[in-house]
Amino acid sequence: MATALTDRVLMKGNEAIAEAAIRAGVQAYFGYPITPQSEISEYMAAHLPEHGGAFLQAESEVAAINMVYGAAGAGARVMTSTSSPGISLMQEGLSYIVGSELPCVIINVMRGGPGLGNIAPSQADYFQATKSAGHGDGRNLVLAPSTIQEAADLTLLAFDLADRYRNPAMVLTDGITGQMMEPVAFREGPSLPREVPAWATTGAGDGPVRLINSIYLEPEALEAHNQRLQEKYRRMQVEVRSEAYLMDDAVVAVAAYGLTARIARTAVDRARAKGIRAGLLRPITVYPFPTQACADAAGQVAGILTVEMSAGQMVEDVRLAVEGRTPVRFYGRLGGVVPTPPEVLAQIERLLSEVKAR
Amino acid sequence: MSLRVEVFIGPFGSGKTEVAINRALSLVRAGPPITFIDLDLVDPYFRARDARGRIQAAGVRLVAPPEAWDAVDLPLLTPEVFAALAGSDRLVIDAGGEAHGALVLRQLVHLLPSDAAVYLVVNPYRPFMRTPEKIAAARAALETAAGSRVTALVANPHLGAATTPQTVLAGFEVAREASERMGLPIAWTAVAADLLDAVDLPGEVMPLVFHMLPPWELEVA
Repeated sequence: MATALTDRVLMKGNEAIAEAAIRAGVQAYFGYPITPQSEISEYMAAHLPEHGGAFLQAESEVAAINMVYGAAGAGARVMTSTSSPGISLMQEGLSYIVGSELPCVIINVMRGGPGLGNIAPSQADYFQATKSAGHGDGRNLVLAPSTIQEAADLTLLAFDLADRYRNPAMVLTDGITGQMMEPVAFREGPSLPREVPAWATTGAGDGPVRLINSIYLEPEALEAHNQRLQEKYRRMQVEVRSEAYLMDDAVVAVAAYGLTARIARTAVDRARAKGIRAGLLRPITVYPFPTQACADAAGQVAGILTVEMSAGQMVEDVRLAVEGRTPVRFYGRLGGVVPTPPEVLAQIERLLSEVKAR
Repeated sequence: MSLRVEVFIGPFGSGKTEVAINRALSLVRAGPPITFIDLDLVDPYFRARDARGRIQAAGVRLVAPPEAWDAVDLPLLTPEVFAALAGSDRLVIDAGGEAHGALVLRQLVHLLPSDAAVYLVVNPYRPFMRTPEKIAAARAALETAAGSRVTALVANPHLGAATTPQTVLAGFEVAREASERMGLPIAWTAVAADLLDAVDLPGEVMPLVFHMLPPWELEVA
């Protein structure tokens, strides 16, 4: 029987992230279950060993991130996944990984906070993800998918970027993107040849001692180390990615990432249907942030509306980019409440009437 | 068919909940009283109780944990489930996904009538349901968990928003082959209502209206 199924399959976001990681050649996964991302752990437990990888359910997120630290130091392609409270628990280990310059991939399927919060979708971990990597002056590369296909593609990219910069790369997504299903096709990866890095602690043999740590007792030595890291973060800026949707002739822009970008896209379409020239500016990387794309938009539109499932986090980066050249307004829902397209459309119209009244 | 109890089981993402809701809504049009039991103890999002308003507005009685507990990450099995099984309404039962979602049926099996229908919902576009062999393996795992035999398949071949008539036809062929190999009939092939005219399928077709939509696709009145 010739059954011509397409190569595309229907997957949950969490499943697609896990499958993409397996195709990226992840060798070890360490994690601890937490809703709404537990399907990633479940998928890894079921399928990573089939591909020769190691799955280990740690006793906590603290243990999981330190297992990532150890395996990354030994040169393995390695990852963990969790949701917001788990990311908080991982902050210390993450800082050690950044300080030790080790590549790894971290998935954060955000849920409502602060504290235990709830299991509903959220974008309230933006500051935590983009402004630091634990304590100290470290940074994560942070990728923010808006569709299940993009969740798969950016997971693959995260492994490459992590290797390229010897730095953690985080996929920052939310509960709905993790739980919802869409068609997805997988491309082959990784694009970088993956060999055990020369710095990996696999045994020095007759060569020089290899040591991986983040301790620099002399202030001048730690300053020099930090300056090297800062130079690396400057080099990372070339990895910035964003999408402009209907921005060519836009007189008002909505800035949104991830799930809220999808809602904003629908609102932009509805605004266009009403004759309002709206556009969408969607950061795909949120660190590095598409500062130039925002600045360019500021010279063109009468105002920018930032929409988030938070009390207003990315909007600070938008304002920094815009430097006061155009009004920036914010609309957010909190605690797991998802904004609707009519709400966003009403905010677009409100911004326009406010601008016209000036 | 006039079976009093119809149970829908299947792997994650097979479309059990959409199929079960659509089945309940078509039954209530034929004549109430119909009770829908949301027996999903494992999924945090996209459960029948998330469409509580639409189900109840259609005249179907919904048995699910109280709304105040919708966002709680707990496997809640309420006494109303047992009351409904002991009652006389026609029942549509939607179990959670995978074997661990179907496991809850095991403690209810002795309360089901002997002619209860147990439908295995099959979408060959799910990654581990793409061949008749994999469908058979999923059936075995689910039957073991549920302590119940599957009585028929529901073919639900689709790729979400990317579904075309060709998608439906190619997926149906996989389900049909699985049906023949396992000696299980296909009770219905579920097809999005807007594709009905574009596909010509043998057997019963269940037109689907979607209720488990992401927030930005839900029309706000």
